[in-house]
Amino acid sequence: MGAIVVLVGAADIVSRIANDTLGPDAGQTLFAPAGAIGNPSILDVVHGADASTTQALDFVPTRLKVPSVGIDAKVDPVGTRQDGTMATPGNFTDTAWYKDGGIPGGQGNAVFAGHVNNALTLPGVFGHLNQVHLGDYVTVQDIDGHTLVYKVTAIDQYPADEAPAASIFATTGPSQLVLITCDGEWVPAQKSFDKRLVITAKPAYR
Amino acid sequence: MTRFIVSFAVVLGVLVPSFAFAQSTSNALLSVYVQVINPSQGSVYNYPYNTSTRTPADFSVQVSGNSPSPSTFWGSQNAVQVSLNPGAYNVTIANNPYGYTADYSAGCNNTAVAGGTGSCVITLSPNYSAYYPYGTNYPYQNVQPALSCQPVTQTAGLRQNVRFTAVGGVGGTYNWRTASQNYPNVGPVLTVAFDQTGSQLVTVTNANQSATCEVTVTQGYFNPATVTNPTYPTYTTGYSTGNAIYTNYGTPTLTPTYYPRLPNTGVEPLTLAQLMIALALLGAAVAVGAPYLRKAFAIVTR
Repeated sequence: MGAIVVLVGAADIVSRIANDTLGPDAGQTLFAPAGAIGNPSILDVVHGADASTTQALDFVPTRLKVPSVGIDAKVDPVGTRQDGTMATPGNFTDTAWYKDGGIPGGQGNAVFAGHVNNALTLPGVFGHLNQVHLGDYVTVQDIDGHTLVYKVTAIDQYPADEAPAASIFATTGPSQLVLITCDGEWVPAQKSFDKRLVITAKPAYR
Repeated sequence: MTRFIVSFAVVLGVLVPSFAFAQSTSNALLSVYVQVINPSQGSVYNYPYNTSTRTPADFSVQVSGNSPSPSTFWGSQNAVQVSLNPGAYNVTIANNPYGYTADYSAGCNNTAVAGGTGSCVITLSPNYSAYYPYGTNYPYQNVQPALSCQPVTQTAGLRQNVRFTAVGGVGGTYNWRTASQNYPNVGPVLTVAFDQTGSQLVTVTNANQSATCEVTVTQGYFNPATVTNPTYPTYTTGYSTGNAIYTNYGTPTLTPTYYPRLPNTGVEPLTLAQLMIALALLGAAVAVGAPYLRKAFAIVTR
């Protein structure tokens, strides 16, 4: 059991080293299936997220960045687990996008989640999300290289089971990005941290 | 997106594979209700024009948007389920309402999201001034379709959004009320989450009618996969003197809207002792396996 944990952690560490030394896609390239390697996006078309653009309706996020805290991560579309919680990414370096909710640039909230730590207590992809400040930029990119730019407008912490899920996962209203990770103290009995950090970002340009 | 599915069945003791393509469930589902309010004196038009009253099936509904299916259909008070791809959509009465005015709820012109559900309620009410010049001389009274709140009962988890739809009434203003809050003039569809477990009542009022729904709020998450939408028979109510007015009222099938709980993105931190044990196990594994690895490497490179 311990060896497995160490191996998982080792893969994570190698992935991180690769990211740092070979570029942000290196970790993914090292561990992703061959078909997933290579992003055809060459040209970043940066524009503000606007719910009125029809382009946003087809926007499937593939990469999420929060430059101020060094987040530059692949995005995995996820659904819901049997226990009713939003599913999480399959590893500690990717983020998860709730595909049954809002679409970036469309109406409502596009919700992303990422691990706060890994089994070795090293920071996960959202390990430094608690250092985000109001006004920091968050960008989300699709496979064609289109980039939507958002700005952090709210930083909230909720008890794990008392977060206002209805508003966090709202599918109507203005376009927003919501980033979620664990926070607070580890509760062994619940196998969970006792708080959730929720970062809300609105379109940077209108 | 289409997925290819392989399944197996045992036929006469032989395992037989079968193949099928299955459509993913990323489409949105829109419930379109059409209700008609008829004048108690019969048609809006007096002789020699239409003398019969209208039913929802007299009105053709058109849905524009991203690949709606069906895109045109006859109206029904029992709701017609329209599947459509994510994106903006608009629902309108396609044929000439001819003496009736169509009122659309907010869900008739909205944006569909993948896997989402929505309700569109179209209310057709008499337009007395449109064709009949003497309408104001008559004390016309609309026959009010009975107001009901649908679904009458449902179950949801704590702080999960639940949708209620008012069916019937005279259109216009719908006021909603829960035990803790009033929701004035929010239209025929209310989506609300509850902070208290137990049985909760939701009341909707429209003109001089009111109706009540009940929701049982449970502590844990109520898995939408376990929700089964009951089907109800259509029955006939409503009769007025002078002209026979039959209106079909049915109880629609509705899918409550749920939101997930927040994800658990943390991993139990290792203690220093656990970390040391793990490293020791890894070291032992390497030590035990090294001779074999060397031997295998030698064989391969020989």
